[in-house]
Amino acid sequence: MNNETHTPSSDFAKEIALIPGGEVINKCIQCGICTASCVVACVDDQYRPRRLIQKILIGKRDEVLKSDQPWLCMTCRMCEERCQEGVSPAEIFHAVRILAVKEGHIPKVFQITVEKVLCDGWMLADAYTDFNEDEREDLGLNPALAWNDTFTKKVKKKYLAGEESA
Amino acid sequence: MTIDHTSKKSTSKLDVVSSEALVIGGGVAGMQAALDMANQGFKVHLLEKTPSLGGKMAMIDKTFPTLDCSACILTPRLSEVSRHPNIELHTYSDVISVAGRVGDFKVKIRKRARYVDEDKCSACADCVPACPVEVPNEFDQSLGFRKAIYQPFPQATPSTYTITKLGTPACREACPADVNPQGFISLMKEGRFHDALRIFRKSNPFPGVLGRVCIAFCEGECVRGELDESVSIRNLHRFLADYERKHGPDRPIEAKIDKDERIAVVGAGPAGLACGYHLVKMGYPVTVFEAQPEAGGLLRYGIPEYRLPRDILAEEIDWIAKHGVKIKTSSPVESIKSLKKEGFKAIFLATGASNSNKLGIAGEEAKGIYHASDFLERANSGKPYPLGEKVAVIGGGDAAIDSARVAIRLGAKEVTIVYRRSHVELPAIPSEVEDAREEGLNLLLLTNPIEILTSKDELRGIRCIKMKLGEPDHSGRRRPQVIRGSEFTLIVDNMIIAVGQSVTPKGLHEECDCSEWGTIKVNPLTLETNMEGVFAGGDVVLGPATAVKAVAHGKEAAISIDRFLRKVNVEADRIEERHRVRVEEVDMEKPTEPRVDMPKHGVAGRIQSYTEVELGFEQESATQEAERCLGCAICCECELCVEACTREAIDHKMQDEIIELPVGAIVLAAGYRLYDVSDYPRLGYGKFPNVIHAMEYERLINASGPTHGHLIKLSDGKLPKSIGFIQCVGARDVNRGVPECSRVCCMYGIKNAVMAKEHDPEIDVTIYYADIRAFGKGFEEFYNMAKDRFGIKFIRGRVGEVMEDRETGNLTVRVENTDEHAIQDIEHDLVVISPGIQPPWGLDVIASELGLELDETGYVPVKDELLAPVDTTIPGVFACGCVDSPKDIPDSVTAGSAAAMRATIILSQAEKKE
Amino acid sequence: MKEIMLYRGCTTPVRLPAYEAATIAVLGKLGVKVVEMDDANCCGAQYVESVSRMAFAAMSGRILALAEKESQDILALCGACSGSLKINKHFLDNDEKARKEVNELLSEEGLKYTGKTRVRHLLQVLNEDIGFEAIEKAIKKPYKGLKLAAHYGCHVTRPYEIVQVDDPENPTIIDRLIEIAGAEAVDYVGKTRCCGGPLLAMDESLATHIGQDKIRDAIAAGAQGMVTACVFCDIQLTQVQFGEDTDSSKMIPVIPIVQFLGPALGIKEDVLGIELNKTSPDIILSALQEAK
Repeated sequence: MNNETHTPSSDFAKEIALIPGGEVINKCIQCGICTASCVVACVDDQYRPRRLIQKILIGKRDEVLKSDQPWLCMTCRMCEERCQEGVSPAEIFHAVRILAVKEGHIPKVFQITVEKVLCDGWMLADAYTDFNEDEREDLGLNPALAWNDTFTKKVKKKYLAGEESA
Repeated sequence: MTIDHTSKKSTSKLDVVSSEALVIGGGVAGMQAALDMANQGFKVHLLEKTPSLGGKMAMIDKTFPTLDCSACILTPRLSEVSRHPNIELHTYSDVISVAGRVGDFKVKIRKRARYVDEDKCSACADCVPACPVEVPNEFDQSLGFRKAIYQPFPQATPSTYTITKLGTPACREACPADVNPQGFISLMKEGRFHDALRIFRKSNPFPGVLGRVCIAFCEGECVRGELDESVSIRNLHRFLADYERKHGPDRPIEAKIDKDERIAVVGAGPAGLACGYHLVKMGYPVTVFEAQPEAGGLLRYGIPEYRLPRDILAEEIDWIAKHGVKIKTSSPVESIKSLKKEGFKAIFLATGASNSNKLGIAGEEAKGIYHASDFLERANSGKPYPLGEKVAVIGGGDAAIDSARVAIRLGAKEVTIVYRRSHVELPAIPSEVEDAREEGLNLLLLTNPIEILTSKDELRGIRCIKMKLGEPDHSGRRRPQVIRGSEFTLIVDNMIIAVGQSVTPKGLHEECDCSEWGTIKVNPLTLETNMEGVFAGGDVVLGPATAVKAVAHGKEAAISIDRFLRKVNVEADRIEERHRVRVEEVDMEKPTEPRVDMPKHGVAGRIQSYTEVELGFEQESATQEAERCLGCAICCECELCVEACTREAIDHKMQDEIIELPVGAIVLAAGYRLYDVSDYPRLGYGKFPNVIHAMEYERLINASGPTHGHLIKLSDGKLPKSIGFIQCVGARDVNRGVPECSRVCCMYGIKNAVMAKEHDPEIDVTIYYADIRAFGKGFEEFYNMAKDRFGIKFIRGRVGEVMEDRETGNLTVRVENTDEHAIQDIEHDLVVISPGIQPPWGLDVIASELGLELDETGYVPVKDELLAPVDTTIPGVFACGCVDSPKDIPDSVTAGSAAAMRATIILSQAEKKE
Repeated sequence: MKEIMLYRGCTTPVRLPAYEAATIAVLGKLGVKVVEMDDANCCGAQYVESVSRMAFAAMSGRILALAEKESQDILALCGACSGSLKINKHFLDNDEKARKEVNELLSEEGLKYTGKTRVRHLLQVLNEDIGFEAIEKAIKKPYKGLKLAAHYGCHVTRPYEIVQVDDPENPTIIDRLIEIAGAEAVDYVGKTRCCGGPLLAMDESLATHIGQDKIRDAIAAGAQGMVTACVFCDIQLTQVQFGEDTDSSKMIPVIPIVQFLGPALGIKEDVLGIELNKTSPDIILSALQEAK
């Protein structure tokens, strides 16, 4: 736990509330049902959706945006299903991710995969071997997958120009 | 909505026509309002939809925060209300409509029939052990059972029992003779076979005979058939007759002939014998004249012995005779006049229709061709016609099947039914057809005979043609049409024609007005013929029908004859208006289970003789089959309660009463309902036996509850060692449309937790919550006492899910303890969910009658929450209790008094009537 | 014959082509012709989704437009694809500005999304378009004496307001199909929990732990196998049963719904690609009864 004093502020929560998905963050009453329903929280001692939202509510902007925690959410939406106040931690963490990316915080694996997808048009271009082709043919499926990479490159140019990977 | 609430703002004096008040809802708030108005001298009508006043407060064990016994607080109120000279109770009643305006409302209410006279019943409970029908006890949250006749709780007010009767079950409605299958089957479930047999015999003296040959209209309508297969009703009352044969009757027959008027019955078939039976029970001397050497009519001479053994028939006829009916066989009657000359005051003609119909094709008189009635009569008299190897039977009814099976027993090797329609239209009883098929009967369906082939006037064969089914005719059956060019020849030695019967051309009936088919014309309600004092019934009136219809006629004729002789209106009130219980009204949540099979004699053995084919149920099978009955009407009208009641308080003929109440003001105090927590699959209610809700918990710890106050787990009946209480379920939940807080659950949850500790201080108790709302007087202290004195654990975290250990039945609650940021799996052996409260079911209907528009959460909106908190938007209509917002008991009572005050301001303006 | 356009997604064609083959065969048998989508791109699930909302909408939007061009509805096999396409359809249907922006990008190829295309998950096609009655009639060789656990997948069933496939807290479609085919559907703790797949990117060992918990809970309830309805879930639940700290004797077969239904409908196993399954389906196939 952090021993530095923190001056609470509602600005960060207001910021999140403006991002689609974060609108109702202020309805959270910190009851913990999301965490009790979270499969990741059950296997990871440190991951506590409620606590992460608490940090947003009291304004720990830096800590939250730089943290890996929002990226651990699997968007399984069990929390959203069970929250009685209408809050979706999954969507809030999604909003946090979008904001984090804008400020240059993104886990390596996400960065690399986004690059690949937008460049190749799909995720597993490297993994598609002759062996896979033969397998498809044996099953009577079309081995030519015909993925389109032009559009994704366009998307990258328009929306993710600042995301050039190394 | 028929209320006029457009009356102008009153600077002018309000014209109050009635100074009486109506309170809708008999819970603690409604009773408070009623008492406060009554104590000022106003007359109050207190209406309650359940059989007793008391509402939810009567169900709970203790109140918060005082831990008073709820019943101890409530029952003096119940007593005061019931004895108050100014309060008129209308319990077990509903509001039908409201018209008028403030000061002059006209409220129509329906007082539902309890079938028990409130004034005579002393609630002694003698009727309870007599009643054979058990249903889940709603007051005990369906944790226990009650009988169809019941009182919700010991201090029920008014102090009277009530019978839950939905109407007439489909089986009874379908029976022409008004036999009560649900009645006798309910008793069979309890092993009370003699009582069951008595119920059957109220309508029908032939339990064993018709238990073998009745077509069973009841089974066709049995609601169980919608679930899997209809109950085997016929075989069940056959069992009753068999049981009595085996064990002897439990009471001797009481025969008492105490009247003088002699009655003649012509024909000892089912109609005539039934008529005689009902008449001697009424005390009349009856003589039945029968032309044949033995009584029974077609039962004796038409139905073969393997279906209906002679001795069974003879014994049941003898049973009727033991009641005082004189049966004279070999005694044909000359004329109706002769009977009247002999001094008979009334006559019932039941001579039947035993003349075989002809096919109407050439060659029908050739040798080797027989007609069914005649063929069967000869066979049943021990003088059968000789048959060759190949026999064709024309027709598809029971007479045809009977003829065919007799032919098999007479040694015919190839017996074929020739019927012009298909299997679907075949009229014979399906079990008979099945038994016949087992015996080797061939079915040539969609086939019609067109020519009889003879040689030297002896039958050689039949020319047949194939048929197909075309469009339905006026009777709804598809008409058979010939398929051209499909003729073929059937080589046969004999032919039996079984295409229906009709009334014999010559007979006593000729003296009466007859129809073009030769049947006697009668008044369908009374069975009177055109001759005075002469009645008729059975096949001679209906044409060939069924034995049970004949029995029905016998009963109706007996009623008519009795009225005729007492010179009372014969036709009045013959039809009873009854509500037939619909399929939707029956609880069908049961696992499917097929009918119990009827054990049968082996085929090889049985076709050598006329030994009975269907062997009858054993007691175990009969009880098993009886258990399949769904008990559609709930109360089965066995009337054993009537026998048990020493005050003659029970009247099954009671009707609902509709009355109109003129009132000046209305107080709505309709209470609340609990949110149905089976709506939360993640909590396991309804799946796991040890997850219950708070009201079930209240009944378990209540000394007058189903376990007499022993807090036990429903899975194994043991005391729980560790209980978890889950708060905020069905309240403060945006997803389920119930965003509001229910105000009482935090406190009642804590109260329930404290009660567990009072039961046993060793029990480990935990409450899972998001907030504890302990806002009122004494509430915070109560909460602290729960923690400090009783050691109840409070964990701040809403429960994510409840999981069950299949072997132990124990539960694991998964929650985040938000104070420790830790996810915990905590084991309990009992979990109690605290449901939120909601407006009661049916509030929308009452509201619409009052002209009230409910708000979007379903509650009644008040005129102004700060300044007029018990006034509704309709002048003269006031709201109290939980009907406008959740409240605890003290607040409900306060609101009740407030509403009473607001109402009497209006009522006191009424003109004093001297 | 009804037609529907297949969106394969990135994973199926490479990691589990048998799912694709089995789907085409089973739907074909039940009266739905599966048509290929040409020139597709990744739907943007999870990765692009986390970095830019509009990029995500554009990528999924193009898939919707491709199907709309052929006047087809989309059948998605992967739960994540199905979720992405539905969420973006909901977004584009209700936000005019976003739709205009995406259509501008698409206009260069002559594509346009106007909202006509529907996105269907396989379970919806089986339940709503084909119906349980028709499936029951088509069963030729029922199973007997087999207990199976159903795994629905998070993106298949949640959020209900958008995906509308089955009750998210108490789903029953797969269970009913299991019963129709003659096997017994087993209820187990954590039936609606995630398989752990999406966490593989950030923490493989945690993800594996999650998947193994699911398998363990199913076995504890007496299940002899698990039936899936998402390609990603299927691969994940299979994969977690292999590896260093696993006990191969405790392995249970994981099988997609179409490979489970296929043999019961009389479709040959090699058409369904069952021999390619990593977990042995023997215990399931040996419960097949002879033809009715």
